[in-house]
Amino acid sequence: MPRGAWLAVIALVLIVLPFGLKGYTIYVLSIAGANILAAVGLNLLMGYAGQVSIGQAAFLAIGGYTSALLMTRLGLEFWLAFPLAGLLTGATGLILFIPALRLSAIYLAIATLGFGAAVQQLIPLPYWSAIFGGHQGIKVPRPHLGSFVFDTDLELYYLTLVIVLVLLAMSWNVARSYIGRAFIALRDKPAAAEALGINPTRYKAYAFVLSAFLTGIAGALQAHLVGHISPGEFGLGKSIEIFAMVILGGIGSLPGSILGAVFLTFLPHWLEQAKLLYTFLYGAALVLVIIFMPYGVWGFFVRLYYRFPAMQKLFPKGA
Amino acid sequence: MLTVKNLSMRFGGLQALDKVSFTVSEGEIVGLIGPNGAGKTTVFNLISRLYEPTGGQILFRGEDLLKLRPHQIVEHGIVRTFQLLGLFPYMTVLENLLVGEHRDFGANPLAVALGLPSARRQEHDRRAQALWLLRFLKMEALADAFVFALPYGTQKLIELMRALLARPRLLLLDEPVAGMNAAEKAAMREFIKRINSDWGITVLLVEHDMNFVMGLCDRIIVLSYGRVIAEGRADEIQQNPEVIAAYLGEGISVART
Amino acid sequence: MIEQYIVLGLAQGSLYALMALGMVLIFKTTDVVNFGQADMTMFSAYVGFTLLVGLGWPFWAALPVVIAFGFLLGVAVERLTLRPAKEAPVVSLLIVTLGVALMLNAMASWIWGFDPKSLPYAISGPPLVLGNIIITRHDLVIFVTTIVLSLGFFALLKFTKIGTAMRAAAQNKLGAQLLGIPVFRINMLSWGLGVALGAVAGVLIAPLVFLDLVVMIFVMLKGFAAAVLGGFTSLPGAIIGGLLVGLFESLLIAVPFELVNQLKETLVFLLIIVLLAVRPQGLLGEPIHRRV
Repeated sequence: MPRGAWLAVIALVLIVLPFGLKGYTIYVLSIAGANILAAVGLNLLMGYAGQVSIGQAAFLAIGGYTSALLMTRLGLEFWLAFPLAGLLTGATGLILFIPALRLSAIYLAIATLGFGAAVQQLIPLPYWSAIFGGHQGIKVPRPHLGSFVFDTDLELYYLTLVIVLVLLAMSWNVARSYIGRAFIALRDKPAAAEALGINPTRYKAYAFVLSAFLTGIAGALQAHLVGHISPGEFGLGKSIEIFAMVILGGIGSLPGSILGAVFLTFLPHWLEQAKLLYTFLYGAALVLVIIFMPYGVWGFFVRLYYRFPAMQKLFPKGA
Repeated sequence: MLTVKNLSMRFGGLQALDKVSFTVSEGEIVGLIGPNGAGKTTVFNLISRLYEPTGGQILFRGEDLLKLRPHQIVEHGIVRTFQLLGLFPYMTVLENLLVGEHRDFGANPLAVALGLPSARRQEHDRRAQALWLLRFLKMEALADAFVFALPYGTQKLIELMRALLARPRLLLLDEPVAGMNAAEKAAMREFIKRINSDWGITVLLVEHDMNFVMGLCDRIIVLSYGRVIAEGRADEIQQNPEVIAAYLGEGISVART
Repeated sequence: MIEQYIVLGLAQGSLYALMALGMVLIFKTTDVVNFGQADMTMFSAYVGFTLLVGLGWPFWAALPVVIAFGFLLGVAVERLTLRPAKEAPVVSLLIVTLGVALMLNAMASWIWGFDPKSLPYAISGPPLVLGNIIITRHDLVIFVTTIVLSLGFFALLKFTKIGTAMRAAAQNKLGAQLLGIPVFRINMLSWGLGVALGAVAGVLIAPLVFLDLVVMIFVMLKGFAAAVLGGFTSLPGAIIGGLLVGLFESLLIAVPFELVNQLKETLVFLLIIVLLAVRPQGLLGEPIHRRV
């Protein structure tokens, strides 16, 4: 089947998917959409550009609070506040870009960790609790277009679907362009990349801004879906969860990040009945996936693809 | 075209280069040879600005290269290859070649993200250019292969192709035939000659294979312990007693042609 | 007054140093950043709780058992999870350590429940007064333990055959393998020692805080930061980094502004980032050479 046909099938499945599902499951699917954007945002930064970040939750928080406050405090319409939140978060990506100019790998990880801790500590300070709502957080209005308010789980699902698909297409375009290639070139052979004219400063800045933008949108989306935002949601645990989505899906692969995000969003819900066993099984799942799929779920599929010719016929190369 | 004046480089206590001076004129193929550790690759790394020299000057067409950052060198027309392969292993051959054309990309990132026609056209044109070169060398079947899976000699050739796509005036080749068999070496020699004569690209190369260097280069510069000890045509170099003495310790006959 | 804060800071910093030392050792020999160090420390501290409170053992008897437990835990983690996953890239191994952490966390909650536990001091009794400095006996134990363990540890690396093998493996894995050094056994040993160092830190920290399932995460993050500050590949750097982080944190408490206290964690990280900006390879790390 050609690529276009596959995309059409996937689109159709995604449109029909919520019918027959419980409202709560539809809601979790929407949350998975937000997580997909966060995972793709980190994957572009870490998998493509090779810049490790364990402070991504800070960008989620900035995006979420910005969109909410632009709507409630400045009275902006959703369609304006939402993208603006992404863009402003993108600009804050430059805060991490500055240490990244000098630091690499583990040292940069500490800087991003510090950034995450700082944002989580700054938000609930009493000095601006009138705006940020302190530890309790604030209510986030439902998205709306004109007088139409996205209120039911189904309406929110379709809104999420459109936003996620548009941003995935944009991410895909960037990843497959000269910019994505420059990221990988600088990651694997920096000297060779620079000798061919790739400016490391510029592309590091691109990577951080792009990653922060996508994560900011993810945070805003999540805030509008949940209807509430508080600093407690954005600790180290959240940053690591996004990190795990990228690794489990397959580092450096955008489809992998989608799978990783969906898997880790649903895993807690599948394990819910397990109660006391829950944390244990979650941890065991992480360990087992890496042992049996060292290059993530997507790497596993790629391996199957090359081992079984039948799959190569079904999915022609380049699809 | 390229003028290196009193270039010195010190790594801690080691004087890797000591006041090295030479020139490369437009249209030449120049070989830079010398025993192991003579400082050949260091010269390349200085020209491509990976190292900061401890002294001296590098001029290219009147421009002071030492004022430039590594990624700006290519804009002036100097492109290099690497001794231990500078290919990006997790990219396909075609993607590697496209990185070679990086200086000809420049679509607005927003246009790229939105998939606007201007960005698509640019990607399409660059791809066509890279595919043209692959077809020119009858290698189009390799376009979608990952480079890490290809034989070493083929990788070397692809790295050279990638350098050519960056539109060099001066090409710096670091051991272009290392690890190749005789037939591959002969093909590479012909290819470099063509690049030089048909496309007008000046070549400065470092190579250990004396047959290859002697049969290809118009002029040869010999480095030993960080100094230029001889310079001249192949036959002059082969008879130079200082050069023979420098290579004696290596057990390689310079006059092996 | 300031001397008092310095002493407190050094005591706290010693514990970060032990934590950092364990993480650096594991990283140096196996390239893995152990994000599970917190939960391994927490679990070992709970074992200490059972011995000290449950069974009423004295501190000097419980400590060696806790160390041995930490060692075996580290060895088991290496053997059962990291070695089977050795094909995976190093960033993925980080997720493995995290998975192990979650499993330990769950097991701790089954065994010891969710209520915070309090552990007794290593030595009880009135604090010692030296001029205008007051030192608790427990802090004194912390100092002595840290000094003894650090020295013993360096002696092990420097003067024993296995220590030489560990340093060789840290320098060059392939080379060590070619020389016939059993790299797998070295990895296991590093994990054992690294986690054991954390276990000691855990059983010494627990009396100062209430021991629960998450408290060690903050200690680990400070230890991690200390390790990076010290250079992440330098063992003396880890100790100096730990002491500096402890000292800085303690001096911040001395600042009479409420805001400084509220932003304590942020300021600690900010200082580290500033220091790293000046010296990107950390205090004692080897400068990163550009490879061509």
